[in-house]
Amino acid sequence: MSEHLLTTKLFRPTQHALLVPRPHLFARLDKGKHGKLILVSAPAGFGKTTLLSTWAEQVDFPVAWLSLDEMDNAPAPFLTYLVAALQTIDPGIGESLLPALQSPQPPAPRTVLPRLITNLAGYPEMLLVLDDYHLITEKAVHDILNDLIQHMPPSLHLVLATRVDPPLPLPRLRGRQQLTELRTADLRFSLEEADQLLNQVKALQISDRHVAALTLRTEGWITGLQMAVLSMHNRADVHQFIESFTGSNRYILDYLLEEVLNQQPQEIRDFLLRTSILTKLCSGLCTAVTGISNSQHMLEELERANLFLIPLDDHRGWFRYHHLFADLLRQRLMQCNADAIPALHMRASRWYAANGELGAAIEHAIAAEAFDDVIQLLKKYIQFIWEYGDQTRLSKWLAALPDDIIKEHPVILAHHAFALCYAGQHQEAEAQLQAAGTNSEPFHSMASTVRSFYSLYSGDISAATSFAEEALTGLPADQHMWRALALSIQGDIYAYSGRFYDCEDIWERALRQAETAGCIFFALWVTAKLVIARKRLGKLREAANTFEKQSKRAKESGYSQVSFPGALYAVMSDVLLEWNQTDDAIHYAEMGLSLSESQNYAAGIAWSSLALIPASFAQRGISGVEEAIRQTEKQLQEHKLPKWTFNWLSSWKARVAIAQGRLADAECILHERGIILDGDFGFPKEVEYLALVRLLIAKRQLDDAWVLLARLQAQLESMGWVDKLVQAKLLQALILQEEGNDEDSLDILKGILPLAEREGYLCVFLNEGPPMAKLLYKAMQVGIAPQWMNKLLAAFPLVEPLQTPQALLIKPLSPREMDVLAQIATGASNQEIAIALHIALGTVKNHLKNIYAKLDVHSRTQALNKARSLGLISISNSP
Amino acid sequence: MSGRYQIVIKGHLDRNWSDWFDGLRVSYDEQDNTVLSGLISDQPALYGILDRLRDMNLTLITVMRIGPDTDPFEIKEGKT
Repeated sequence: MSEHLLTTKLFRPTQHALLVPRPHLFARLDKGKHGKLILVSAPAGFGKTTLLSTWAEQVDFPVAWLSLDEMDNAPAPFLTYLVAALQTIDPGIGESLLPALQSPQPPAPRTVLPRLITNLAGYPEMLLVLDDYHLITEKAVHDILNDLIQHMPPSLHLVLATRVDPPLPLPRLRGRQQLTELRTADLRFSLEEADQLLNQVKALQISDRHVAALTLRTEGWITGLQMAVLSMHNRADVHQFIESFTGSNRYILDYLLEEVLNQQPQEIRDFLLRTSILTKLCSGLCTAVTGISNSQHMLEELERANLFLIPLDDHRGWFRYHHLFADLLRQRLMQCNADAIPALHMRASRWYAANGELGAAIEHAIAAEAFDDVIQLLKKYIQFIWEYGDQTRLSKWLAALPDDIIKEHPVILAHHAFALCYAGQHQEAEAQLQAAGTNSEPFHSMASTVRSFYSLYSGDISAATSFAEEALTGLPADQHMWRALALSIQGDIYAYSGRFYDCEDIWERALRQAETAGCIFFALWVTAKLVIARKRLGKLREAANTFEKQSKRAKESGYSQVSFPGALYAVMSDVLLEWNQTDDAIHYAEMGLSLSESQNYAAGIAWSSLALIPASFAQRGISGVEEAIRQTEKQLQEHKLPKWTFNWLSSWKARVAIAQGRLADAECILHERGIILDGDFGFPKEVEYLALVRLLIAKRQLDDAWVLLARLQAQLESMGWVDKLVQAKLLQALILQEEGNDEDSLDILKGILPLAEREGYLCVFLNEGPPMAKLLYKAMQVGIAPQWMNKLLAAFPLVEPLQTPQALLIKPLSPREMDVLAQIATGASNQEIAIALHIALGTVKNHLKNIYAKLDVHSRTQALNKARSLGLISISNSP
Repeated sequence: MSGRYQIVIKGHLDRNWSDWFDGLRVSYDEQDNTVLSGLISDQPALYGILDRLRDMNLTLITVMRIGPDTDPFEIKEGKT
């Protein structure tokens, strides 16, 4: 079950009753539609909705309508319905925003609004009507509207209908002529309009004197006049009625309602009173509440008789009463049959529960003060809190329950605490746990889970560890979601401690639990973690499989890509990059970044930004990587990113400095981070230590590099950090090659080959540049996995990896140059070539110079590689 | 922070509206305006009542907080 968007809120109420046309008001609205805001501010019953609805029907802009209610009093629901309303004009408006807004961790308004505003800029002019804005009382929502008005795209024009002036900068808007107001005085019926209503529309033949008296008595209050009209329906003594009515001081609606009700047959009277407790009506619900079987007929009758029934859709499925009318009926019900009210609410509650609207079912049960039923419904509701964590509603409902009843069901409080935690309200979450006042199971284990969650979040690893252990010991086996959560947190703790084998195992278990619980969103979160774990363990293919399988499952369950956690794409980007699928890697990293930003998830932003660094390097070399590093630093300023961001960032900055020959800078960068020769390891410093190894190699301090590398390898091995181990081993092999020890160097290469080949490691070789190509070529020459070597070599770029790629102008080699090239392929020296081709040594050197220029290379090895990849010489041309 | 309040609204509201306004006592002054009086538990409750009056389009004349020493039943009983 999901709480689908209530499309009734987006339906523009249409009136079929004969209406008094108000062209002068239409004229003002027409003028006002070019400004930023039209405000229609008047008490209930002055025809605001009718006016705006009839105007919207014929205005020449497309109109989006949103009928607000109390549930819209929080940023996420408000923005959700705002976007949904705009989408009735064009489904493309704010398309990517909705799923994120409806997720358990909705994005902050300040990230959503700018995107919506930018999105709207491309559309033609439109109107957005927000009806019943007085129901919005939360500052956070007023702030959103303020921001929207301040940065309003020229295409959007806002209309607010309200009973109370909203706390918006009205004076400023007035001053700048961007505000059009229709107030009570404007909306009152004039004598002429009252006359029209009474005599033309309703043909009651009321004298001028009486029209004036009625208008005076009602003060032009439209609802009052309409009720008066109803009271005079089928009445013989209209004159008498008017005299009595205008002579009385009694509250006019009270007076008139009595008249109206007295005229109705008993059946209708009962129907009206009983259904007054409902916020909206359909025939099934009405039958359940009133016991009348022909409810549909009844509803249509009421609408025809103008008894203040407003349709909420265009197929007469749902209706609601005019708010005032409903209030009056409710008051009357309270007065004449208060004892019956709880039972009516209970019937409504049961109908809603049976028809899948848990929220409404709970609200009616609370109104009935049937607390046991509320508890049962809440127990069902909290199952969905993992998917649609609408914590504000839950908070409101719990506040309505007596303390002693809640205390008997602490599990509900545990769920509430989790929802609060997830929304970042850690202190309130702890307060909820305290309020339960118990340590019984399973509450206690659930509480431990919540506590371990926010401890981890605030960096208190030891507290997180002990709470997680408590939780896992005590949680019953059938509490799948809670177990999934606790296992996932435990996995995070292992990750922080650099125990990657344990991570994989426990996150796998967490994923299974999440799947059993049917919680797709959480399953995707855990999938991201599992993919990282597998990548680190060197299981690239399995990592990719996990991603594919879980993505497919989620999509089949109706989850769209834009609701996937951004982090999932970021970690997949890393895997793709290992396979040198650079373009895909960049695409995934960018998707991960944009999703994480809209989901307001810091770790996702960090992961995506960091993934862009090596991916940019692979795609565009040094300039690409410098840009990506700059972007990451910018992200660090704008968001509070996790601490480990700095480790990876500094390791890359050092690497770039080394590649550019700025060894002193690299030394500085690492030194500032405390990365020194005899320094201590500890996840994730190892990435920085790898950079230190590179620095030492660049400084030709090969002995120091060797010793550090040995220590580092032992550490990486114990952690299970296989993909960094591969890098370390390659560095080791290169050191040996540098020292002239080809044999040992090739041995090391041989050692990692099975893994590298099986998992498709590519990029890690390419990143080491020409020295690695040299080593691979040697390996191929001595017959070590020649096909694999060939494949690796063919992937090497045609230019120095650490230089900006230039456009390659391949001029064909002359036949003589081809001869020289063939000679080089046999390993001949320049002298030998001169002899073999009967040319002077200087000529050989000239030819070489031209060959290098045409192939855009700088060495024999490169020339050969390039020639091979271009097919100029066959692979078998090796001695 | 409870308090005794007296709210005067224009026009005559029947006694049976007392329940709708949290059980406040309904009485009338010389102009047959309605006087709602009684204990209101806190400010939110007071604003809740004022909102309900607003929703009924009833015109507020005065809202007064009466000290605990004063007996609201001594003030201007008026016609019943």
